[in-house]
Amino acid sequence: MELNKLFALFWHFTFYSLLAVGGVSSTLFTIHHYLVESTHWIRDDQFFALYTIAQIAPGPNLQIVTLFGYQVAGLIGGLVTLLGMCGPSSLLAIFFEHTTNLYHTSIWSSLIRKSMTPIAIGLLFANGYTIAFHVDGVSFQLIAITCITILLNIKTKLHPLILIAGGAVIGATFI
Amino acid sequence: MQTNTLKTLSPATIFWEFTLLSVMGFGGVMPLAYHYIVERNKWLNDKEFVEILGVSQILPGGNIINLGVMLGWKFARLKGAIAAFLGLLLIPSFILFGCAFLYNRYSNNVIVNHAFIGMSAVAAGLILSTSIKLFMKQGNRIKAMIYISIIFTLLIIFHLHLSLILIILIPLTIIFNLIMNKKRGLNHGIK
Repeated sequence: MELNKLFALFWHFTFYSLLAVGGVSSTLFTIHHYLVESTHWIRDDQFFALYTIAQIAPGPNLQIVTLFGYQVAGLIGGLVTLLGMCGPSSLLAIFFEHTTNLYHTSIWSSLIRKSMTPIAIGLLFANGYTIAFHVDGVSFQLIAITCITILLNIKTKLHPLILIAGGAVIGATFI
Repeated sequence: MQTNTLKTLSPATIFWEFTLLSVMGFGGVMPLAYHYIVERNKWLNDKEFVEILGVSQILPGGNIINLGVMLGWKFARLKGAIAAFLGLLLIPSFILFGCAFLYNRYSNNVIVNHAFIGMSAVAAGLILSTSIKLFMKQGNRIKAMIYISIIFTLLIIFHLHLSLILIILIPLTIIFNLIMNKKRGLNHGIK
């Protein structure tokens, strides 16, 4: 039932928006579990290809969920998923802006942010590890690409888009 | 509520500026937000930007979306919020739909498929290196390392659900920081 699918997408991604501490990449493992392993709506290789497309395309990072929704249920699926991810949270943000004085909340918000930073770093690392583990598998070449990317991104100021383009060329020619 | 200028902006301006910001943002929009909002348009001053950014980061959802709708609401109420929301998401969504359409059309091609496998390996490296960079910037690396280990163990080894981990970890950390601040005699002052 298509309508059930859309409802499921909406509510699941509203829920994920609550969990996105430090950005949508922190929930990637959780989203992968839902879309690939539990529901089988998206294939493993599609999931990571879509994630990569969202990295290349312009726009807010959380737009990756639009692509997941699109893959599951077409154009409407994409829009519903995106609305789930940022509709309810936007209403909350407006409510916050309207009812509270941001100056006074900045004491609390800085405390909460300070508390969430190490959690966000931990989540990002765990998600990066899972994705690398999944994508690279036992392929020596792919593990090498991931490791070289890490080195280049830390040691140089090369734009991530250049690194992704490099990955495309190496993938197409050597794998 | 803000002390200084009570500006109003037209929803059309808000929509257009956020569209521009969003479409220019390759690899995330947040790094450009300060330039567009503070330097280019002077909608907010430094301090106001930091305040609104701080709140947008602790609310659920996307930081830049939260920031956009709050700013839109501040300057043009509901129309402004909708204008910012659509500005940030409308055009990029259709760019993405186009990309996904092309992907589905050509992903059976072996070369395209291999290019995507290579790019995914890079994408994984980018997430890992971002987390490593953030880790290096931390003042207290031992504390950060403990967090990384705890989260890694719970999420990857014990397969606990992310929501459970956050429900436990966030309140504990906030309480811990509150106690530490009290101990140091800080009135958890403004950053």
